[in-house]
Amino acid sequence: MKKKILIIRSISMQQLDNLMSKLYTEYPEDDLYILTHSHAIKRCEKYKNITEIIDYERINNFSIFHIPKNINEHDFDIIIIPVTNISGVGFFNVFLMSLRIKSKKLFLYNLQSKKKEIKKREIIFNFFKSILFSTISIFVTIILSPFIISHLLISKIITK
Amino acid sequence: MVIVSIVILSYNRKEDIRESLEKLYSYNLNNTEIIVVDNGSSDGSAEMIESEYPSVRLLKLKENIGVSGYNKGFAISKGKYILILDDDSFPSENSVKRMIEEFEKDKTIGIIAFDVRNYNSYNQVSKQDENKEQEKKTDKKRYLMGFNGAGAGIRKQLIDKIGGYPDEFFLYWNEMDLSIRVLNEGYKILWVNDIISYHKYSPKNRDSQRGPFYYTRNLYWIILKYFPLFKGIGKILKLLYYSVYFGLEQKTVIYLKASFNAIFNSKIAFKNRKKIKKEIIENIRIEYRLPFIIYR
Repeated sequence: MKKKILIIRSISMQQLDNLMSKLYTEYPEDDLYILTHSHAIKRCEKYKNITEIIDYERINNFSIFHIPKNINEHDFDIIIIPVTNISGVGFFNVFLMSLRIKSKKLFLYNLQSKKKEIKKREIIFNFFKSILFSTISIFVTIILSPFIISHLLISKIITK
Repeated sequence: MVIVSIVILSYNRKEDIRESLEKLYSYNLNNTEIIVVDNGSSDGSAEMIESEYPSVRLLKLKENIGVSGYNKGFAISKGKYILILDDDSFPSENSVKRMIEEFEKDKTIGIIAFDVRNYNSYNQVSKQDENKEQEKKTDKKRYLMGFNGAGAGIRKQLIDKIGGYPDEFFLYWNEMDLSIRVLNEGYKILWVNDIISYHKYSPKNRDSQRGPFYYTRNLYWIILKYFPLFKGIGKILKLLYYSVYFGLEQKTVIYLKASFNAIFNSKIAFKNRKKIKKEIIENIRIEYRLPFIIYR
């Protein structure tokens, strides 16, 4: 039976070109869907055999606070999240958003197109870790802000 | 008469630049000059070009000066249009012709952003897509976006007026910096889907700290150069927050190092500060998280 596979375009088109060749081989008979920002829809049309290109409808980063209308009319077998690095760090917003899309499995494909399954419990664990990091980062930013702002203002005045 | 000057920056990629030049010469392009700026390569790239491609205008620099090298090439170019390429990229066969057509059709186009595709897809998607007449459709949306320096056309007169890439950047975000100035002059950046270049996208060196350092520092400088003061401070604090957050997540201090470097050397950015139209600052698409997602 054909699988429904959603590729979230979280990487550059060049990297996606590479990955698509791999995915065509890995899922030759399955239905591939691409979720992408509006500005990249035209660029995704060059890929052959894509069942549907879904518009993210926003220009901002992928976020848990927004998923496209009607995306959950689909029940995906697999969600693919490609990342621009080796480990997937920095893509937590995409993982988090994927929790709101109906799917059975979630795979990360890294820069070298290596595949790793991501369990939903890992994302939830990382969610709590991100809250801790966010709290520390806000605190550090608040502490450093007065020094940085005053330095920049002085620097700007001197440069004038 | 030279219509297009192809300017390529080369640094230690002898085989790649050879392949790019081979492709360009195989197209038999008329009214075109090829300028290669060699950024002090130590692998014999410059010598190879001299001996195998004597008609190339070669500028041999003594050291690697980063993207500033392009400016040296722009300065000596004679064409009405400049085609910017990397040493590991080349356009598809009809793209130079199509680029000229688009520039001639609309005088308000400042930059034509090529559809930069992965080199590995060269044999898979290119031929059919390039040759079909019905595929020659353009996406005329006004993109307030940057472009990819592995394939882009720009009017020479525009470069003469507003300058080329920012000398102070060395690497990364140079395209965005130039894009902001081009848009500010009232020109458009157009992406056209049948104007294609192929780029050898490399997944190597992701552990090098050079990428995250320059990506982070130069983004601060773009904000300091072009954003209104208070809006800019907000963005600077956002970047600082990201530097701490992603530093913790990736167990690295490189983002903070780059942040402090950008801030303590902010005079360099302020010296090049320029007033930019409000609608450009509001609509330009800058991916603020980009510096933090390429490492490790």
